[in-house]
Amino acid sequence: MSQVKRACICILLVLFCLLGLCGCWDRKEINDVNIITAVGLDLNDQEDIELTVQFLVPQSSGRQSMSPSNGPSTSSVTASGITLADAVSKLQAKVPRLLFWGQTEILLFSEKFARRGIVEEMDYLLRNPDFRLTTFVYVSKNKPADVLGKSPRMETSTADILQKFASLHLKLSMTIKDLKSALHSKAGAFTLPMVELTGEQPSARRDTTAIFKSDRMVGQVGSATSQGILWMTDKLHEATINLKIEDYPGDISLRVFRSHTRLKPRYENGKWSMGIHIDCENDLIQNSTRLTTSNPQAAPLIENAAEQMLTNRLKETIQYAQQQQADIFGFADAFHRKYPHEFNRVKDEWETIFQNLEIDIHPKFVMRRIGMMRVPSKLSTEEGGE
Amino acid sequence: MEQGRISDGQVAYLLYVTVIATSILIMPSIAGQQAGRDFWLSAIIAAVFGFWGIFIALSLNKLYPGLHPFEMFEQLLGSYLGKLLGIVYLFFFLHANALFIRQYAEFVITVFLPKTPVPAIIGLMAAVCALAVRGGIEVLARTAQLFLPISLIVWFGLLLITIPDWEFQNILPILEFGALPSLKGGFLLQTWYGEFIMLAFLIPFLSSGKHIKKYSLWALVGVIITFVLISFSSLLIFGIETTNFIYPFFEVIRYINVGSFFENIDALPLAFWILTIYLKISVFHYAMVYGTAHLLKLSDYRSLSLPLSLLLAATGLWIVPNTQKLIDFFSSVSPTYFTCFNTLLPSIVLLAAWIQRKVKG
Repeated sequence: MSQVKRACICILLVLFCLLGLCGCWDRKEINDVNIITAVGLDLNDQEDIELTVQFLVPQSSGRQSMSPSNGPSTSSVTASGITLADAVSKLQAKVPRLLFWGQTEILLFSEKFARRGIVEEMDYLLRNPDFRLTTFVYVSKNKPADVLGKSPRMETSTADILQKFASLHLKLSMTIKDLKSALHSKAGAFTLPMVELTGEQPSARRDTTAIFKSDRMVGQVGSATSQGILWMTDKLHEATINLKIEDYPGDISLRVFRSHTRLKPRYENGKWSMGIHIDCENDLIQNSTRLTTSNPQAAPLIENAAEQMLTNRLKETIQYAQQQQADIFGFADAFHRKYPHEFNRVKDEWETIFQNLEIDIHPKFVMRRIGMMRVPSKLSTEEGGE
Repeated sequence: MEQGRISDGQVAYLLYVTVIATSILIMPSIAGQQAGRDFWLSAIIAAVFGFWGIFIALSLNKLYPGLHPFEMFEQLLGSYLGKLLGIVYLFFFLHANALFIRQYAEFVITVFLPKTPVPAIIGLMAAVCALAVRGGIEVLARTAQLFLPISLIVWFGLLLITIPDWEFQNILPILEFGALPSLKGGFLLQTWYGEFIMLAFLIPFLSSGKHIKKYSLWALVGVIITFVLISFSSLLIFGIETTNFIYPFFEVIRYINVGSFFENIDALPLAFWILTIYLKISVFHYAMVYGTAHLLKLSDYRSLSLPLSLLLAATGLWIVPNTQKLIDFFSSVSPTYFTCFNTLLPSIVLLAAWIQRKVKG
């Protein structure tokens, strides 16, 4: 009998322990939270912070039966305040559920906000323990409120679209962690990807890049320079380049599927210089010339043309950066790693040194494969016609 | 007074967990304040103090085989002075343990339970530790043997996942401002390595003690490897930014994101971290409870566990007003404070014991 009693008491004690597991003070029910997917920061006409958040709209039917009649799966709210924290508190007052930041995928800055400087409001995001360092950051050409208000058909939300774009790594992608290191780098300049959503079914234009100095956006560059920056900073994962080859009218397209960039800083006799070594592997994917690419002699021709093209493109990119005195390639950190003492002596005048830095580019392209065709289509149809 | 006996390997578990439990969270940022990006070097340099702690504990045990340090104090200094030194140590255990339990509470509140009051978190932990200590040294040793391997597998498994994000160039330049900053950082880290002196308080409960030297050195090697791995993972991911975080290791874990589905898993390693901090607080609580019973010449120490845990919880509440003071304590006061009790006083005791032997012998 006493054994049964003991067992009963034990079971009761164990059950009593379970009570502690629900966490009385910090209980968060899924029905009581507003799951935020994207955050947009803008300035309104009074120069106050305008915060827009996009959050998921719970749907009882779930994802399987998603049909147009279901209505949008996300919604957005906007509020302003003198700081981001203030705007958040005003925004919280507007929605009936607790704001939940843990699932934020995207952080959007408007151009106006980016030009004013981002570091002050970043403090709130980095201090908040719910906010993730893996969130992707963009500068938006549209107003963030407009972007986040749209609801696309293809993905659940505009945040999802932007997140998927970033994960493809075709263009520049930056996370909050990258941004944080960039803000504190020796170089004092960095880049963020820009995005422009167009049309009712949002598709994005992402071929421009925003240039930042210290924490302010100072300019933007177009498609070719953006790709140059990717190449310089070893962030290029995949690219398609088009070439013209002398004596062979038409175009040759190569797909670069592997690229590796090494910076070789040098400091000799008080003179700073930088060598950039780029190794690329590429496939031929289209040939509209008469060049027979299956011929081994054709490979060096194409490789040389590609190297020439890349050198020219990078020269333009470097020229732009040097004009702006913006060390967006992280050269300062490369020098600091190799010559810490020498660099620390000149770090205050780094911008002028960077402007006059001698840079030599050593690209190396290696052709790997030519696809399924032995001779170019142009040649084979002409032969067939004769 | 203590009937339970533990094995050499279990002591190694307890030593290892005592040193790393509180340190892995803040180690890179504390050392980084002085050493910059060379804090991983500091972690290796400071290991000398761990070695010294083990050496003292083993030498004292050779001079007074099988005795608890409090008994050694009395044999060495006489009844009154020896008891006085014992009381000083009891206050140290109480104060240090209160710091640990508060550090645990501050961390959990900052990252997970912002609305939960401090007394609830500290009180529950103190109650669990009181219960464990009441169960005796064997309970502590066995929970260590059970919990620690699981925690280590989870942590290091997660660290492996972060390897693709490691950028090895972040380590450069090494020794940018010479060796002095890393030495200073090492001095901050030795507060934890010094805790190897707890070996002296565990030796009396060993069943055989034949291989204790080997096992305690293994624990030291384990701590060094852990510190270096944790330093590298945060340094290689965040670079010099590591030193700006309060809890760098936790940021590393929050950063894990595999194919955008294996992410937001920070609760998992945290749960296992709580298992280790429980062991650390219990080890110190045990030292205090056993020491008190010994000084008061009680026949059993078990009845003291719960009342003293109340004292521990209360001290934990009073000890600092906020996180800033706590972090400031760990980077300014604690290097000298803990060194006094972990390294300096035991060294003096050992020296005195040697001289006494020489004079008498």
